[in-house]
This record gives sequence, C-alpha cells and structure tokens, in this order.
Amino acid sequence: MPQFRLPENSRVRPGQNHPAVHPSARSCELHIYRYDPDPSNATPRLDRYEIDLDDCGPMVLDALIKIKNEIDPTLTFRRSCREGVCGSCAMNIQGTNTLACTQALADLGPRISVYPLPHMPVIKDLVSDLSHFYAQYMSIEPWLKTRAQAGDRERLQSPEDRARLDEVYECILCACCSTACPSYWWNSDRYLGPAVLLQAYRWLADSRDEATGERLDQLEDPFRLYRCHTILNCTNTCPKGLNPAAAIAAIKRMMVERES
Amino acid sequence: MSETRSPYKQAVGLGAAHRGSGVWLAQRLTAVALIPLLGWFVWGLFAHLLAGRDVLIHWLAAPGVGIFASLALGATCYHAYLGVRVVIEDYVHAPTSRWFLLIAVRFLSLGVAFADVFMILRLSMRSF
Repeated sequence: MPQFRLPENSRVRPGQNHPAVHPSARSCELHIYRYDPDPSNATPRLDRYEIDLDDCGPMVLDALIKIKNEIDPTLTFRRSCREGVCGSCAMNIQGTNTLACTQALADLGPRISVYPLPHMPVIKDLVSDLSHFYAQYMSIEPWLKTRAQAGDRERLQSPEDRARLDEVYECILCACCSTACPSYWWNSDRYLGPAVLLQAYRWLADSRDEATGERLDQLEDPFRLYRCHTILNCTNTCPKGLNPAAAIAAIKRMMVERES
Repeated sequence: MSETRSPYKQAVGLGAAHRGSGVWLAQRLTAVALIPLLGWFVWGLFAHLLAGRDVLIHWLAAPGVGIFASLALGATCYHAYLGVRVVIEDYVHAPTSRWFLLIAVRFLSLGVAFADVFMILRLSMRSF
C-alpha cells in the first residue's frame, strides 16, 4: 500500500521556545529543525529562537552561530569558510536550498524557517549525510585523464577552451541543487543528480581531458543521466548562480552528436 | 539499501546501461512530429464527423489520409509509451509492480498501435 503520511517518528512536532532575553524593536524568530539521533529522543522537532538583529551579524549563519554561542550550544550545523566558498553550510532556508553564510537575514522577513537539505538522511539537526552524494561524485572520476605522457611543462589550453569551463568549474559541491531536484529525491540511488552531472560536464568540456568517450559511456544510462526531466529547480536554487540544467543539456547533446 | 555496502558500491550499482540517448531523442522527435500530425488528425476527425459518419469514413479511407493517420496514431502510441514508462520508472519502486506495469504498458501501446493501423487499413481496402 502506498504511504501518504510520514512515519510516526519522522513527523516534526513543536519544540522548545527560546524567547529573546532583552526584547528589541528589531528582532526575528528562527524556527529550526532539530533532530537528536539518540533513540530515546529521536523524534524531530521545530525549536523557536528569537534573536535581536541589532546584536547579530547580517547572515543566517551569523544567527545560527549566535544561537549556538549564546542560547543553545546543542544546536548542530556545518560551517567553515563563512564566505560561500566551501559549501559546508548548505541548508533549506525559508523553503529554498542555499548557503546560510551568503543568505542575508534582512531578505527573509521576521519569521525564518531553517531545515536540513531535503530528502537526505539527517545525522543531527541541520547536518545531513552526504556519503552517497560524495560516492556518486567519486564514480565520475573527477580528475584529468590522459594517455599522452606529461611533458616538461603544463598541459596547454587556449583561452577559448578555458572559457568553456567558466560557470562550470565554480561549483562548490554544496548539494543544494541535487537535493532540490524531485527526480533526485525519488531516484537518487541511480540518478547522479545535477551537481554530479555538472561536475561530469566540467571534465567533458575540458580540452585537456582525453577520456571523453569513456566518460560519455559511463553516463549513458536511462537513470544516471536521463532521469533529468528539466524541472530546473537546480538552476533556480544554485547559490553560486550556476546552471546545472544547461550542463546536463550539453551532455545530452554530446550523446546525440556521437550517434549521428 | 544495505548499510554493509560501501557508499561507492551503492553509487555505481549495476553499472551504466550504455543506452538511453536513442529513447531520449525518439521522445523529442515524436513530440515535434505530433504537433502538426495530431493537430491535423483531430481537426479532420471532428470536421468530418460533423458532416456525418459516412463522410468521415470516406475521408479516412483516402490513401493519403490513411498514411498520415497511421503515422499520427503510431507516433502517439510510441510517444505515450515512452512517457508512461518514464512515469512508472520514476514513481513505482516495488519490483513486482514495476515490472508488471512496464510490461503491461508495452503490450498495451503495441496493441493499440496495431489496432489503429488495422482499422485504417480495413477502411482503405473497403469498397464504397
């Protein structure tokens, strides 16, 4: 029988309320998904935190750090660079996957919801398990493959060929796009997802790589590549402004090109 | 998925099928072909049906109409088969139901396509 409701222990229930210690005219409330893997406390909940915007940095990550430092040290999340380069703090903020460090609080209104990346196993609170995502990345062999022996200098690339990698190489593998893709939600066991396909295209488009045919062979599959139904959630949500859908379309064009 | 298998083992699964681009291209080509073909066929059906059943049968029995009607119906069945197959592959994950539905939709679309072409051939060979 199809299951239309979440299992009992996956339904999010109201959690603890943390009102502001000193009420302020400029405050906002964050409703944050909390999950503790301890079996005795393993039902997710939504905790409410009220913070003073005049006493907090401008980004959502600043608010999360403030909560962890001053209100609730048990709140768990990943973060590192704080400037949109590492991709660690990817999460679902106000219904959109993005980076907490580049998402301004001022753009979100007075009530902000924060959840982990959708449809991934949750390890704790806002930390999702990305092992499968990284294994899929590993499966496309994301490194330069050549048969020709390396010379005594760099492998050369014309400015035009280098330009083909623009808006592709900037991907930071934050997984915002893949976890926003309904096709990836339903078939992530076999579909590679937009982030990994964008990375695959990065090596297909590289003029120095000599394994293009081999790479296309590994991608030609009804699930690995062709589960992309051009829903375009990936392009809408990418916090780096990249276009994974265009990269996937380019791979499909290469597939047809080598057959005709 | 088994937790004892490594994430990489789960990611590579059974390997690439080395097919899919032909089906992807066929779905798009039939979609493009169906815009004029199906538009013309539906318009013809209604226009001639309004003039009476005999007029419709005479129209369908004409050789040119029969060829394009067969193409329209055949392409519709093939396009629908490819689309429904993707829907089943996307949403039906129980192996038994999945295989049953995939086989059923293949037979159903083949059956409907043959029945359509047979009907048009029969009309074309009929003497008025």
